[in-house]
Amino acid sequence: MASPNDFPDSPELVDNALLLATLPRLSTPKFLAPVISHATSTTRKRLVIILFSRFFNKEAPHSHLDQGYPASQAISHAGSWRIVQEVLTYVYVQATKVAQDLGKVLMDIDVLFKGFNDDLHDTLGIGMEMVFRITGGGHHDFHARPLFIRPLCRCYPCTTA
Amino acid sequence: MPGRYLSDHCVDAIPVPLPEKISQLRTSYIPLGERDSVDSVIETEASTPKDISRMYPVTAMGGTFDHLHAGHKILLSMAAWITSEKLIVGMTGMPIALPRTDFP
Repeated sequence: MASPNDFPDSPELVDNALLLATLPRLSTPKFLAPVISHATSTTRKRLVIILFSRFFNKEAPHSHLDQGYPASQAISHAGSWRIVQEVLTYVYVQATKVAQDLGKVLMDIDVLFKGFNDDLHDTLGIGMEMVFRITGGGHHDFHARPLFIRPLCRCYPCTTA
Repeated sequence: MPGRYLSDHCVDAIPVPLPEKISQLRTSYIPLGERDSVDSVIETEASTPKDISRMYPVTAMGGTFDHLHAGHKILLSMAAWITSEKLIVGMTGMPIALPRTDFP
């Protein structure tokens, strides 16, 4: 497993960036605090945080992905109001606090929820310069791995940015 | 410059195919610290299709949204979260949106 030392700090600033992460459980995502802090610090103007979870799966079959991630894994929307609001608030507060501490009071921060059976729209990448992903920590959601590639061993190239 | 390779188990796996515009972006991998403590976890149960339908077909909300901040975005997101068909957002206009000058 890679250690934090394998990933040099990236002092480089970009104007617009995406942060992609999964939520293995529906709870206050305290484990994301350092990740949100890093992404917010490295971004000047606009940061879009996209949180993926099977709990956000759409009710109706929305795409071919629904075969592997059925809507039955989703949660009641009205019944989960409190915890979903807590997750949303926690992420917004973490990012906004870091931005304001750095004097970036007008930084545009958005938090989006996406299910595993939902397509990601191409327009989300327009104007973006960098995407932040997470590695390590052992928080991963086993359900997040597509069924047809679970038996395979894969490698990811790691950028030096 | 040759990249370093990480085994699959240490990268946050996202099952949704990333659009081309996103997959072509430079990627910065942020190492995660300790996993969240067990105490902070609120267990959730998978819902039945009947539960999922617990949304409201039409929801209405309103505000001045001047200027739009994180609190507004949370409110708008939560309204969308519980709405299945139509979300009506009323925006307060003049003169209510103007700063009040008649306070003592």
